[in-house]
Amino acid sequence: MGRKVKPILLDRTAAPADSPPEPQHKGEQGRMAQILVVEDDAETAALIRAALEAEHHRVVHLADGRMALDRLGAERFDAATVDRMLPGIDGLTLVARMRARQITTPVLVISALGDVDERIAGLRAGGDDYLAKPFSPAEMVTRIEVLLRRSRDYPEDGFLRAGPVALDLVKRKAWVDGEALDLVNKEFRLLEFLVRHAGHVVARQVIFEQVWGRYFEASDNLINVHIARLRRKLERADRTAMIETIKGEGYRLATG
Amino acid sequence: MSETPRLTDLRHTTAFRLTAGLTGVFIVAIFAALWLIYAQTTAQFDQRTDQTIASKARMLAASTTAQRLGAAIAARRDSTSGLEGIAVFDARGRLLIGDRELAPPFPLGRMFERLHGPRGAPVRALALPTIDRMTVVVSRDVTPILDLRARIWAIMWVSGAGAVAVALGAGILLSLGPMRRIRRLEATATRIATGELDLRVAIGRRGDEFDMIAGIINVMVEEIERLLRQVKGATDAIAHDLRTPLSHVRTRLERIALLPALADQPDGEAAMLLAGARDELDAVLARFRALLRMSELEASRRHAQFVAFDPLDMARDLAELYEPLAEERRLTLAATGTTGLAVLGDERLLFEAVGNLVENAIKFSPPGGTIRLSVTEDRDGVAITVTDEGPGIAPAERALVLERFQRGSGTAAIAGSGLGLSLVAVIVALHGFALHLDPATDGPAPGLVARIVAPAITRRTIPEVR
Repeated sequence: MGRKVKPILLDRTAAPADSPPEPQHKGEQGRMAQILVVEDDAETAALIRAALEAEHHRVVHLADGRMALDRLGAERFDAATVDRMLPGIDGLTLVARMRARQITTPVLVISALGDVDERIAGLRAGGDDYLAKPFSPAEMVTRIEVLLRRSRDYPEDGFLRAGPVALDLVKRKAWVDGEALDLVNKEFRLLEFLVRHAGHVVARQVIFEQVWGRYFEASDNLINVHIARLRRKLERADRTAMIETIKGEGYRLATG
Repeated sequence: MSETPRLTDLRHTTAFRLTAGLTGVFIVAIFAALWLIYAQTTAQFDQRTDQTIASKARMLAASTTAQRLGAAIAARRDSTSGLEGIAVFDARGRLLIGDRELAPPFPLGRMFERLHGPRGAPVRALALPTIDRMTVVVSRDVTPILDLRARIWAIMWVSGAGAVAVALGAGILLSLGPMRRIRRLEATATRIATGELDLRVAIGRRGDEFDMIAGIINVMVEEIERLLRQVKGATDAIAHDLRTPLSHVRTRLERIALLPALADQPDGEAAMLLAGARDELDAVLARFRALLRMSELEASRRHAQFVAFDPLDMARDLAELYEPLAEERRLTLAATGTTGLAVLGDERLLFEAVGNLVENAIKFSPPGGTIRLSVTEDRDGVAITVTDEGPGIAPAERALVLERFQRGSGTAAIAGSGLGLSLVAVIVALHGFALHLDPATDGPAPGLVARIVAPAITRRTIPEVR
């Protein structure tokens, strides 16, 4: 898919009173990350590699849990995907041992077991997110990027920016081109999530989990109508479309 | 279903019918025997009386002179003062001597009866001609015989009625036991029929015909359960085994999509075909996931994870989540109810279950309608109700739509996998709650009232969900 990697813009400005502050500088935040893929299924590993490399990340692939643990201790990775069932030691043990060794690399646990309980077990072991097989690469990439950005998810001045959109995370206010928006709670969180991942495709299921905190499979249409409602509030006739629909994958907030 | 047998039910039992039949035969036999005794006894009495009367009458009639007749009468009278009567009439029927109650008319030479004979008693009598065209009449009081007849008659009635009463009582008593057992059998069988396949009919130690029937029923239920498990196991196995190769197909499609030739032309025909194939595959995989998830949920025992939460909070979150979807179809969705109620359960799963009900309501409601999501407390417990104005579910289909892949008739035009309500049923069953699908009683359209009823709990110091 002809997706271009665009930098996420987390602009820091001095806090103003009523209107969104002008950005002081534009920081280049979206950078190439080094990601460890621990996966014994060659087919899945190839998909993960292809999808992450398409986003210009560097991928190291290992099929064995023990080797992965050694490698993680020796080298710094920005994120890791860990399969639940692995030869050597299983995925959850690997994550638990990583955490015991103070290795804080964010981990996306990937598993063929999709139940809610499995998800909880994955997170309890020290995983940061959970993805059930089979998955769409877009969703996997979204989840990895959510993890990559987590370390810097709260801007110093409390303001998030993406193109014409500015969000005051403290006062929960939003502006487009300096024009204040009237958003209800979930709409604000939805916009915040899109702004945090501006320029990247975010999968519907990830939006649902991150914004609503629910982990069942919501129908695509359910997320679509929320996006449509937010779109109506964001977009005016004189403005270009800000939330793009990427067919079969999800949504992307334009940064331009 | 009541376990107390009613009399009208007893009437139809085999035990009762057998007893009643046997009693009938008995009664006929008793009556026949009594009748025989009665007939024989009375005939004997009558015969003896008649003989006595006849011999006496012949003796008197044989007197050759009036003096001899008078002497004979005088002699007889002394000895027969108690029961006998004697009278002599002249040719014109005037009483010459004796009891005037025996006055003519009477037939000559054969027995006749008179209700009011001498001393007012009923009598049998015989009149014979004698000398000088006179008539001599001899009678005998039959009161003792009539008494005896009445007694025998009374004995017959009393013993007959007694036998009938005893037989009825015995019939009822004999039927009660079997009837109770049949009722218990019926109650258990009904519960099994409604899905409680782990139940078994109790088998007694007597080893009688009821225990034999119970044994047969249990074997049948076991076989049904085994077959159901087999079918379900096969479904799960198919879903499980096909998931890995299908996942690989899905993964390969994704990798094809990432190839430069396709990635550079996202709107090209190849990319479109690929996207279509992927969507179809996703639908299949989603169904497999849902199936396996239901099996996992059915097998799991997660009561330990249950916590108390306010169902109204959940309902409000649901309304907030689904409101835009409702609005898109020009429907009104509102959550109302009683605050401060508490339900013990897995909030995430119940949210999903009620979400499924709301999504169904949105799917099937005609535009412009209202969907009500309410939380109320009644005597059954806490009810979470989703009411719509859609076509509802036909009574015959209510149980069926909870089965996997089953959809109501007339829903063919609306997309769906037939798994939504099954998941709701699984989640509700996991909690031990009740799920009711009823027609809406008010409102213009038929509508459906989907109700999840949980036992009410008092809010304790249980940690909040989330």
